[in-house]
Amino acid sequence: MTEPTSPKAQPPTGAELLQDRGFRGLTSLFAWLTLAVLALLLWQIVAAGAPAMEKYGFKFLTSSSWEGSKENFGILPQIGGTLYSSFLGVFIGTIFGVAVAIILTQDFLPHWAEVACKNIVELLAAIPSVVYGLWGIFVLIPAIRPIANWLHEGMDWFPLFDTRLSGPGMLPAALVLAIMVLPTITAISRDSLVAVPPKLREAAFGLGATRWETILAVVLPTASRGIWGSVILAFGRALGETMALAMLVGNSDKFSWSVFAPGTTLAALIANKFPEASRVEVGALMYAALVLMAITLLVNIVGAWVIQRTSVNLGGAK
Amino acid sequence: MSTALKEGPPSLDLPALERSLRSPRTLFSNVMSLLTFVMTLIAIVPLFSVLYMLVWRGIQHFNIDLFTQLPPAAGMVGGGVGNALVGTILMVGIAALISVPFGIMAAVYLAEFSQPAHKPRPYSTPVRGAASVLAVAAGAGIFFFLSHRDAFTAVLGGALTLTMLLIPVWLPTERIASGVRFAAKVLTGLPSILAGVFAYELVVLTTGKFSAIAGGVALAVLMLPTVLLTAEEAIRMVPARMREAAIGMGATPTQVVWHITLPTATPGILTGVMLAVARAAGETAPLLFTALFSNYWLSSQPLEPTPSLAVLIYNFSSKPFPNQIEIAWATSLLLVLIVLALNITGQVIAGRRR
Repeated sequence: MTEPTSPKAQPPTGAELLQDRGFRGLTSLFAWLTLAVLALLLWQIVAAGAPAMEKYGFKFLTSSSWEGSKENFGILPQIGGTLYSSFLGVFIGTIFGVAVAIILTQDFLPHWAEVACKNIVELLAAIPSVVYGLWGIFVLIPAIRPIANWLHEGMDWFPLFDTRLSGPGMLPAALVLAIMVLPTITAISRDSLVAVPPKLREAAFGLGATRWETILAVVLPTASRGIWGSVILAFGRALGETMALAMLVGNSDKFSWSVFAPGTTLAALIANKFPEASRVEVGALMYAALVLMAITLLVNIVGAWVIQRTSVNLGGAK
Repeated sequence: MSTALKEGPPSLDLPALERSLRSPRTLFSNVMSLLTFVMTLIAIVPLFSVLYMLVWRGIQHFNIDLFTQLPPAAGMVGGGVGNALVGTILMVGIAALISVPFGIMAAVYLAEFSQPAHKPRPYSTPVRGAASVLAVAAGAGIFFFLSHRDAFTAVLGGALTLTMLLIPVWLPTERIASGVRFAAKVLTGLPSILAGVFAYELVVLTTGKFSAIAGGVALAVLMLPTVLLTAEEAIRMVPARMREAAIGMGATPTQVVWHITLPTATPGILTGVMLAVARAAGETAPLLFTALFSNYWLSSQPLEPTPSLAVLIYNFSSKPFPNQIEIAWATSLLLVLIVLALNITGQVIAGRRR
C-alpha cells in the first residue's frame, strides 16, 4: 500500500465489508419476499373465498345453478367443464405433441429442418391466448362446424356427438387448448427423447428392429417419465387457461358430454361474471377461484407422484 | 452380399437381409412414419392459419389511425387503439419495474450467496423441531393478524412475524434456496386469472379503484418467476474462474456480483426479461378485473381504469359490429408483432451469448 494510486489487489476495507454485509442481506430479503409473495397470494385467495365458503359450504360444489339475483350459486358444471375441456385438449395435444417430438428427434429430417420445425412450434407458444380466441371464433368454428354436424347426423347415438355444433362449444375450446399446450408437450418430450442414450437405439437397430419397433419398444418407454411429466404440466396449464375458453366454450352453465355442446369452466366463469358481479356474487366467484386453485395444486401433486412412480418402474431399463 | 451369405452351410438357414417393403414389419414402420409426418404438418397448420388471418384481416386497419385514435363506439367507422397501446406499455412497464429488480436480487441470492463456503453446522433434532414449531406458529400468527385485525392479534401476529424473520438464522441457507426455487416454480404454474384475483384483493379493494397499478401488480406476479429462474440460470453460467480471480484480487462477494457476475450474465438475464415482458404484454385474464378498460386516454390521475390491447381484443371480439371486429383483428396483429419482436430480440441476445 505504499503506492496508493495503483493498488490493483488489496484486501477489502471496512466500509466495503459493511457494504457487502448490507447487500447480501438485501438479496436474502428478496429471496424471502418471493416466498412471502406466494404465501400472501395463497392466503389472499383463501381469505377472499372464506366468507362464501362459510355461507354456501359443500353444497356450492355439488349444485349446478348460478343465479346472481337469487344469490343461488353452484359450480358443479364448471368443475366438470374445466376437467373435461382440459382432458380433451391435453389428449389431442399429447398425440400431436409427441408425434412432433418424435419427428424432431428420430433422424427423420435433416438438421436444418429439425431446427426450423422446432422454432415454428415454439412460436405457437408466443401467440397470446386472446388472439387464439379471436381466431377460434372467426376461423376455427366456421371451419369445423360442417364436419361436426356431419358427425352428429351420422353418429347421433354416440354420446360425444349428441348435439349440433351451433357456434361456440367444447370441441373448438378443446382444439385451441390442444394448440396452446402442444409447444409445452413437444419441448419437454423432445428433451427427454434426446436424453435417451444412443447406445440403446443402436442396440435395437443392431438386433434388426425397424425404426418404429425401436421407437415404440425402446425409445418411448425410456423417455416415458419426461413425456408423462410434460402431459401433467400441460394439464395444469390447461386447467387455468382463461381467455381462449371464455371466448370459445359458450358459457352455458350446463355440463354436457357432447363435445359439440356449449359448456363452461371455472376460469371462464370468473372472467365472464366478474365485471358485472354484485358484492355477494364476487364472494361466490372468489370461492370458485379457491376451488380452481385447489384443483390446480392437486393436479400438480398427483403429477409429481405419477412422475415418481414412472421413474421407479423405469429403474431396470436404464 | 446376401447371396454370399446364402452360399454358407445349409444348416445355418440365414434370413434374407434385404428389406422388403411388403413385409408387415417394414410396412408398419413406413405407415407410422407417414402418419407422424402428416400429424406434424397438421400441428403447424394453426400457426400459419393464425398468422395468415392476422395479416389478411388486420392489415386493412393497420394504419396511423390505429395508433392515434380512440376505440370506435358501436356502429361508428374508423377509430384506433392508441389509448390501449399506451395502457399496455404503462402496465407492462410497472410490472417490469417491480418484477425485474425483485427477480434479479432473489436470483443473485440463489446463485451466489445461498451456498455456504463451508459445510453448514449440523442442526440437532431439538433445534430443527423448534424451528418448525416457530414457522407454524408464525404462519398461524400472520393468519390471525390478517383475519381479525384488532389490537391484540395485531401485536401477537407482529411478534410471530418477527420470529419467522428470525428463522433464517436456524435454517441452512441451501434449504431456503430450494424453498424459494420451489415457490417460483409453483408461481410459474399458477393460472394467470388467480394473479388477477390476488391483485384485485390486494390493490383494488385497498385503494377502492381499478387502476394501472393493480394491473401492473398482477402482471408482475406472472413475470417474477420467469425473471427469477432465467436470471439464476444465467448467473450460474458465469465461469467460476472469473469469480475466483476477482476474489483473489481482494474483492468482496458484493463487488464480485456487481463488477463480474452481473455484467457477464446480462445477456442471459435480458433474454429472460424479454420473454417475461412478451408474456405479460399478451395477458388478458389478470387485467379483466384489475385494470378493467376505458374508452378514453389516460389522464394524469394515478388511479383510474386503464385500457389494454388484450382486453380490447376480448371486448371487441364479441361485438356484432363489423368495424369493431376489424379493429380487433388489427389490434391482434399489432399485439402479435410486439410479442414476436420481443421474443426474437430475446433469442438474438441469447444467441449472441453462445
